Formats: sequence, C-alpha cells, structure tokens
Amino acid sequence: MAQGSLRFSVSTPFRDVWEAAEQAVRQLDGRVEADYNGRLIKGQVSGSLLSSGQRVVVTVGDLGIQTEVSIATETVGFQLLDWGQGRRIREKLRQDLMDYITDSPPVRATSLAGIPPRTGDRVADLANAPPPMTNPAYATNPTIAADSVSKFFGQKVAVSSVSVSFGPGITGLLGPNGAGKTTLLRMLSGMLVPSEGSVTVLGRNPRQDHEVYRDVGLVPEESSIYPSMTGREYVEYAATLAGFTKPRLAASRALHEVALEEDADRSLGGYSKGMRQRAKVAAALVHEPTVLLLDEPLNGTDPVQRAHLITAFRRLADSGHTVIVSSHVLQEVERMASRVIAMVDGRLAAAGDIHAIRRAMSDIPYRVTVAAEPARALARELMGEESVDGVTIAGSSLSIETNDLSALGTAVPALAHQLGVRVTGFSPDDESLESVFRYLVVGR
Amino acid sequence: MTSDQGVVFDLGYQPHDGPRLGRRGAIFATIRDGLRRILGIRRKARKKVMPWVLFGIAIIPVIAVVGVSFFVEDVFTGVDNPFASHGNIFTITSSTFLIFTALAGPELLIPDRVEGVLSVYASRPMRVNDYLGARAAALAIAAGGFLIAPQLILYVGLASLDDDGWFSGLVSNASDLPKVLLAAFFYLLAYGAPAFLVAMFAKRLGPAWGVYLAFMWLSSGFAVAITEATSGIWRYAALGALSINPDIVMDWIFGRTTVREGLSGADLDPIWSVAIILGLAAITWIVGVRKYRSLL
Repeated sequence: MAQGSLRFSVSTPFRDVWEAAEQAVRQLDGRVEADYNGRLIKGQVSGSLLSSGQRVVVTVGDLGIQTEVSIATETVGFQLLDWGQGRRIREKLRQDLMDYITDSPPVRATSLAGIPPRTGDRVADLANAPPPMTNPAYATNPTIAADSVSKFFGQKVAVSSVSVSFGPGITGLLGPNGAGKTTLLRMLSGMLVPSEGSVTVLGRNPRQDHEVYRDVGLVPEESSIYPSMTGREYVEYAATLAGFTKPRLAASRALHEVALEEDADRSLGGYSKGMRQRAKVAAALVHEPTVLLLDEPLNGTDPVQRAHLITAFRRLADSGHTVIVSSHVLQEVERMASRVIAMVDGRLAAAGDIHAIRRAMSDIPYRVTVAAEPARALARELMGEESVDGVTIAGSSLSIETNDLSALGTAVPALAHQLGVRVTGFSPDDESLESVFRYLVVGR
Repeated sequence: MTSDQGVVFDLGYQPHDGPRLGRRGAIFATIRDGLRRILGIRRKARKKVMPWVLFGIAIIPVIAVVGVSFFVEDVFTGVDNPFASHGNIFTITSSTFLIFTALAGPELLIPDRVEGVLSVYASRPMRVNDYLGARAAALAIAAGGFLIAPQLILYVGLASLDDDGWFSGLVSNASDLPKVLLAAFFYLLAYGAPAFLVAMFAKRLGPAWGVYLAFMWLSSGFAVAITEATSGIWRYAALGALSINPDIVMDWIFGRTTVREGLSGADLDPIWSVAIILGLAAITWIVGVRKYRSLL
C-alpha cells in the first residue's frame, strides 16, 4: 500500500471553473483510499485555496511520489488548464471536476481509514471524516508554493519533483553543496523557469506577473554589487528600481537595519565580504518586501554581524514576513529557524520542526549520554530494557542507543533510584540539527 | 517651573509613505543608471575622460564649421555651403559615435552580468524586454548628444545666417529635422546593435571594445576588398561593410550622391543597407531576449 494523497492544481481566469475547483476542494477534504489499476493508494486529501483576482490555485493535499502524481492527474483528467485554449477545454475541465466529485470510481471512502463505506453521495461520507493531517512540507498560510518542481540542466537533475510551501516566519533551507538549494531558491524567486511543475509567490506566477516583485526581496549567492557605487548609492538604486520615490530615506532605514550606516558612503569595492553581504541584505530589504529569499546571507560575516543579521531576520519574521534562509551554517539556522526544509541530491529529504524530523527517523536509534556513578551497574540493568538497543561504557558516562527516547527518560531515573546510582547528566547526542542533517545526508 | 517627569517617545519604524512607481519607475531608474555609467557621472575622473572627450570631438568641429560660415558668409552667397551640411556633419560625428558605442555598449551590459547584479533587476518588477530596452534607451539618449546635438547646432547656426532672418531660416530648414532624426536612428541601430551583441557574450570590457571595433572596421575592410576584386553576385559582399552601411543610408536620406570608396562598384540599392541594419538589430534583440531570459 502506498502512502500519499491526491493533488491537483487549476489556473484559470474563469469564474465557473474557479467555483467548480473550489467546490471540489471543499468536498474532498477528508481521508480517502484510492484504488488505481489494482493498486491501493491510502492517503490524505486536504485542501487549501489561494486566490488572487481571478487566478486560482487549488491544492488538494500532497503526493509523495511520482506515480501518485500521475494517478491524480489521470483520475481528475487534467493537471493544468491553459486558459487560452477556449471554451471547449473549460467545459471539459469543469465536467472532469464534477465527475471526479460525484462519479469517479477509483476514489472511494472506506472503513479501513476509519470512515464509513461510501453509500450514495460521497460528499456526505467525507463530511464525517477526521480533520486532515497537515503535511510538514506545507506551510499553514503559504505565501510561496512549489508544486512538483523539477529543474534539469541537460542530463543533470538539479531539483527533482519537489513540492513544498513556505509561510510567515523563518524557514531554513538546508542541504550539502549541490543539493539543489540555490536552484530551488532561484525557481522560487522566479529567476529560473522550472523544467516541470510550477511556483507561485503570493498566489501569482513570478515569471508572468512581475509586479509580485514589489513584495519580494532577494539576496542572491553571487556578488551582485557594483564595486564603483557606495553602499548608500547601491541601496538607493535598489529602492529606485523598486519604484520608490524617496529612495534616500528608505536606503537610510535599510542601512540602519543591517548596521551599515557608518560605512554607507564608502565604495562597495572597498567593503569586506561581510559588509558586502550586509549591503545586499539592505538592498533586499529596502522596498519593505513581505517575502525575503536569502541565499547564504551569513557568508563571510563575523559573529557580531551574524548575530545582528539573525536578529534582523527574526524581527522581520515576527512581524509576519516570510523569510527563507538557505545556509550550510547549521548552528545559525538552528538559532533562527523553527522550521527547516532539507534537500539532498535535488530531492526533498525532510521538512518541518527539527525535533519532529528526528523523531520521524524511527529506523535510526537515538544516542543519549548519561553521566552516572557507578555507571556499570546502571548499564547492566539498562540492557534489560525493551527501549535500549545498546550501551557503551566510557568511564563514568554511558552512551546509550535507544529506540524510544521517552521510555528511556522514564527508565533511567527509576533504575538509578532502585540501584542507588547517582545520575548527574542525561543529554540526547543527536537531536541537534547537525546530527539530523548528518543522518539525512550520509546516513548513520 | 519645570517638571521632574520624563518620557521617551518610540519613534518606531517609519515605512515608505511615497507612491510606488512599479515597472515604469524601474525602467526609468535603469535608464538613468545606464546614462550615468556611460557618461561617467558619479564615477571616478578616469571614467569621465573618454565619453566627454569624444563628445567634445563630436561637437567642436560643428561649432567650428558654423563659426567659419559666419566669417566666410559672403563666399557662399547664392550657393549652398559645401561644408555646413547635415550630411557632412554626420560623416564627422558618426566616427566619434562609433568609438563611443564601442565603450558604452559593453559598459551597459557586461558589469551587470559579470558582477551578478542581474539578480537585482530580476527581483524587481521588470521583464527582460524592460531591462534590455532600458539599456538600449540609455545608449539612444547618449546617441542624441553625439548625433543630434551637433546637427541642431548646425541647424540653429545656419538659420542665423539666413538672409530673411533667424526665424525664417529655422522654418525654411525645418524639413531637414526629420531626416536628421531618421539618419541618427539608423546610425544608432547600425553601431549599437553589434556593440550589444558583443557585450552580451564578452566577459571583460577591454576585449569587448577591441572585438567590436575590429568587427566593425574589418568587416568593412573585407567588404570593400571583396567588392573591388570581384563582380556579379559577389557585389553583395558590400553589405558586409557594417560601419559604412549607415553612411549609405544617410546619403540616401539626404539625397546625397557621395561615392563610398571601394563600394561604388557594387551599385546596390540603399534599401539593402537598410535591411541589413534592421536585420542585425532584430537578431541582436532576439539573441538578447533569449540569452537574458535565462539570466533574469
């Protein structure tokens, strides 16, 4: 049985299609099982609707694997409507949608998922479904969404079928070199056209609707400065390009935000790398965007500058901005981002809260260090515990491998009390972002 | 009487309260930046030297021609002044403009690409056409200084020599102005398009200047050589004279019958030169949009 859920998207300027799609989302909002060509697909159907004017993007749940994408596509009978193709296509889409809602044989509610079997109207059955489980790859209030995006450079697959969304707050985009972070960020910013899939920023396609850049700030990885300009001129120019009529004032504010005011009248060519980074951040902030895409913004900055920038990013996130930070400096990401998206080899490796990701790695035991005196007696008893996979003794500390951290947390004090062992430390070794990242990238 | 109480006012964050100009504002900002860059405004002194020296070279001969015409007015009584003609002035200023274009074209495009600054434009409400159009517009405005300003000096200067008075002179010669604009347009396309084409691919300014000038002059040299040495279908090689094509079009616009050295034997209709200029400009635009679409 494959896990997944059903997903489709509609982009249309026509109100009737919009309404049909909206209705489909509302009615499919529940747990279903799908039988497709003899293959049982168990999954989640949940929905969100973003609209901007008459353009609509409807997202129904998530599909984890490629085969399920094609199932969804074939079941619904469409993936994307080219609205330029005329009325007949619109009618076909509308009909397909309505068929899917009322008469589609492959999808049915089932008691296996805790829902009464379908009897008659599927909508009535699904109305009793439990609330949909949220997928950590998707933000609750998405401002940026990537839908099955892939990017190929010749034979090389830089990003492979990534579906993810970002909302207000800071999200860390992690991955080793060549993982596809920058490529994904460039697609999210509209600077690269996805080979497959689509990207929406604030409900709009950034490749088609350039006005969306009024609300987007970008710090690219590359140099992207004019060495002959002063810091102030550069940030003022960025403000002017964003259509500001008072660029001087806006530039002063942005330079203050990154603590670069004192050096603002020096030539960028004479700046250190950290100062250049801050100038780039100021240029990205100057037009007060609601979405900030930052590709390695902390590169070259010293610890004081990093702390300052992180504080600035946090302040923006706290005020409702969407901040996406791509970085390989894991400690810094851990300090600022509550949510991470990890990429490995162009694919989405993990998403969500770092501790939740660690917990989801159920095949990798936790490593916990316990400082105890005497350690050996405690080790002997711990080996009898169901939750303990192994214990290594090193002087007065024990390195324990466990498959159930909370059970171990209960067992250790109980056994210590029983044996008269004094426990002076209990710390998980591999709940840090670095450990999780290591597991994701290189395995154990 | 003073109070012993104090208060600290939170000035808070003051967001931008002016209008936002959007795409139009971004385009104008890019044009303004382009002009500053190619004219060396707000740049170091050495960046200002070449454009302003070239501008001086374009303007001073015209002032001299007009000045001399005042002094030798009686010599040309009843006949057209053979020196003070729009065609002659174009012949003088176009060479200067060619060298200016060699400097300006690469300056407009290469630093943005090489320094990675295109992402600054890409993250603003601009399209590829807007960016390239704004850069071309900056060159066009500068071309106005090199190609049209000298002609206006001549136009105003000659009008003041008119027997019926200055205003009458302006009116009687006004029919030259559209021709001036049209000829300047073709010079801009003929010299600007190859400069942009080179700049789209070159990574450094110096080599780009060299490649452009070599391309323009050598193409003309080869075209002249082939035309002189051959006949028949080979006479169309004359169209490869990229630096001479706009001169031919300009002669045609002003109804001049200037003999272009080496190319006269080709005896081609000037419309061919127009086609070559427009074709090259179109190719440059298409190549530019395709290339920059992947960069912006």
